[in-house]
Amino acid sequence: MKIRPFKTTAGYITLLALVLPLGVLEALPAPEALFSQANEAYSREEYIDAIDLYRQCLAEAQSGALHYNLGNAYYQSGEIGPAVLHYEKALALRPNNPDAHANLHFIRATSQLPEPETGLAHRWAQALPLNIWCWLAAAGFWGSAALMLLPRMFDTVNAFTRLLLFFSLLLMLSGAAALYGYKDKSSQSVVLQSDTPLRVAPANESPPTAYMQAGELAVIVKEREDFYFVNTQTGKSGWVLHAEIGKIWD
Amino acid sequence: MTAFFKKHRTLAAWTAVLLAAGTMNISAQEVVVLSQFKPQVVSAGMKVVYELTIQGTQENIKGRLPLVSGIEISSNPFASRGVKIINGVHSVNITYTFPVQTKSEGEFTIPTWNIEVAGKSYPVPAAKLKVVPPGKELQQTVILQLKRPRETFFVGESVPCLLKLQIRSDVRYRLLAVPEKLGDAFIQSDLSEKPNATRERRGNQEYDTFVWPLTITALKAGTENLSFQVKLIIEKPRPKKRSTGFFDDFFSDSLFNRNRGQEVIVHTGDTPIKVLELPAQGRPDSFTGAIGLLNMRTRLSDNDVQVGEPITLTIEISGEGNFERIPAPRLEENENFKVYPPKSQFVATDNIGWKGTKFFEYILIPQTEQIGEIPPVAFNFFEPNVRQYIDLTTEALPLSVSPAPPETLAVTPQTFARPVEPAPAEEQPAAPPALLPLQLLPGSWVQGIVPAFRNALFLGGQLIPPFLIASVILLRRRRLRLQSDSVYARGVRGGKRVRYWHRKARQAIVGQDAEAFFEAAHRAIQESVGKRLKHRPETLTLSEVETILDDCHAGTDVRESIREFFEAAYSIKFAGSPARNYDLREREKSLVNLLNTLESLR
Repeated sequence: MKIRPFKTTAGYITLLALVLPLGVLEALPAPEALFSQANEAYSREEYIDAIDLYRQCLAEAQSGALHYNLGNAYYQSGEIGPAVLHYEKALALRPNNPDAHANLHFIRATSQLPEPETGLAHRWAQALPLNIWCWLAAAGFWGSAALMLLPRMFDTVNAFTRLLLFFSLLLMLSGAAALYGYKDKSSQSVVLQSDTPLRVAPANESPPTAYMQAGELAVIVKEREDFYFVNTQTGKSGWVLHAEIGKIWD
Repeated sequence: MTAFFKKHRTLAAWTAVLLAAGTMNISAQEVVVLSQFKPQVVSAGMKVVYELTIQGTQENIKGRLPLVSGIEISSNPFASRGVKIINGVHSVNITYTFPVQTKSEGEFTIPTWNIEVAGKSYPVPAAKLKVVPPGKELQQTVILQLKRPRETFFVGESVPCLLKLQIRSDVRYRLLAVPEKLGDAFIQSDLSEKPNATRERRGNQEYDTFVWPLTITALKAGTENLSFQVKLIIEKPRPKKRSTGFFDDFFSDSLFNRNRGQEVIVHTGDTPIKVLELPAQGRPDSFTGAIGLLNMRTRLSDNDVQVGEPITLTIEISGEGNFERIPAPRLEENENFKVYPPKSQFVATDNIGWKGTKFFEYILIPQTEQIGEIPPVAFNFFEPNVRQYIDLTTEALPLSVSPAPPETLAVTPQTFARPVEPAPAEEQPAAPPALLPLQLLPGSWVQGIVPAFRNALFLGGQLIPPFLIASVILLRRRRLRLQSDSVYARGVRGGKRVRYWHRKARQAIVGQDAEAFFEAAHRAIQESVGKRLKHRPETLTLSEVETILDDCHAGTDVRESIREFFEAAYSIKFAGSPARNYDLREREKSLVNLLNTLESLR
């Protein structure tokens, strides 16, 4: 038996590790004032000013409503690509935002943009934000692991623990399905300008193989210098400049 | 001595002249005043000199040079003195050289004026200077010519011409720049920095010849003058055997004698060109300004495509003409195709861009499978030699378009002739009639839109569940072992009791209670030695402890230490002997060492 005078250092470190992230979360800015000013500018139909104020807001923090309102302001000022981008961002933060869905559909309909594919997994994934799904899937996985191991050790395997295990497995599989539904979402981007060329090579002089319209979706596959290699919804591939598309996820 | 004079003949000659001059009475000579411009004919902008020579004296002069408008005479002349001996008669002179800058064309005269030499006044004769348009004085030395194929151009027509510069081969020169066009009634193609250079003969004289091919394009109708000029530096001509007249005089002026180059500007002279409007008669509506002799061909990248699949239509226009003014042929508006603005590229087969092929690449996207051909492409041009418009409209190109999966239509959704197939109502929400209004509450704020699986907090958090599960498993296993393994359980319980009595000992130190300290130390040692024994450790006597330590092969220092603690405890507790002044902190350190040693004995 070794007797040491202090045995609580690890406990302090653990406590700090648990408390610090909470402190960071508490310190997040809440630029409501700018948000309100931008809303007022929008209501006065001063859309350019509203965009400027919303963007100042974005520099401090983001929210689903902020991206939604910014999408509205861009649409009112005739910029379809950025409008679609910010509606998509709003949905990335809050997939069950019905207003964002409606406006996005409205813009796609009026601009004759194609609706993206919506498979069963994707629609399932839209029920909750991606990050919530991640946490739920993780909780389901570890819960399943615990419920498979611990009841045997405590001799408490019974109908209740089996039911808990079933729900945990269900949670894990639901999360996995939702994550599959979000496949490619995290690397998805929106074309910002009309007639954006899809180049054969990552060079400005490269001839285009096709053109994309503002608001079209594209998945970023790889990056080289100032260019992304993207796959479009129609299966075409090519290089675009960084400035020609906007990434939905940071 | 003879060899010295041979070697320094020039020096000897000058010495003789000076000696002779020194012995003569030069002041007795008659004074003669002369003046002239050199050269007397010059082009505008050039520099000349005005020379004033006073023969018969080398005295300084006084006088005021008259001002003449149109030329600028420097007030700081160079003075040079000379001595001449002709047939044994010597003469002296002094010459003042005034630099003169010409400005405009015309004849200029410095009128008669007076100078004063040695107190006497002498008239200076008038001198005349003729300033001519640039180039004329160099007519036979530097020649710049514009050669054009005909005298009549059409507005917008690019006409191939030659600009020819010839410089007498015995003249040293340096071109300062390529020739430049004067006036704005025409535009020209760029001139090369490296023209075609040859040597040609004109009469008896050889000329270095430079030729720049270029195109001239008239911008407006009417008779317009076209001229070019070139700037060059002319230097002293190479030595000649005999004089050839005016140009020897020109090049033997004082400037060239000082071996200095002079910048000159040579002109082609005005070339009148009659520029005609393109005839209105017979001009097609689709005429876009192409003039020349041209051909056109078209080709498709693929003749068998699906709806929504891009194809490339290439139009090649080749021949001779104003390619820089030929825009892309306009494809007929057709709702069956989405047509993107074409890319153009010109490949010249000459160095002035008059001959070659211009390519136009259109990306077309068929919007329906009901297409059987690419419509004819209209193109026509004006042929200036026959003065007619010529139509080159192509034949329709066959094209087979097959249906494509609906999602292929997404390539170019903006100009679909056929609307996108609507999705089933239950899958696609109906588009609202207008944009929904703002959301007034911002909701929860986040710092970025980052998937959780790329978030350090999330990834770090995944370590906690396995840690907790493993901890629970380990604790459970320990508990089960405590239940099933009595030796292990006694060891664990003994360990706890050892820690308990050690804590009691430390508390006794705080109260300086020696009795309590030694009692606690005594109990801690009993528990440590007897924690794996079946009977109760608190009943162990010193002799039993020593027997157990013998079995463990404990050292004498351990035994001594235990004896000290036991005897101290017994003497205080049972003999009632007063507590001495024990250093309890030192004793506590000894106790810790002893307990650690006992633990290691197992």
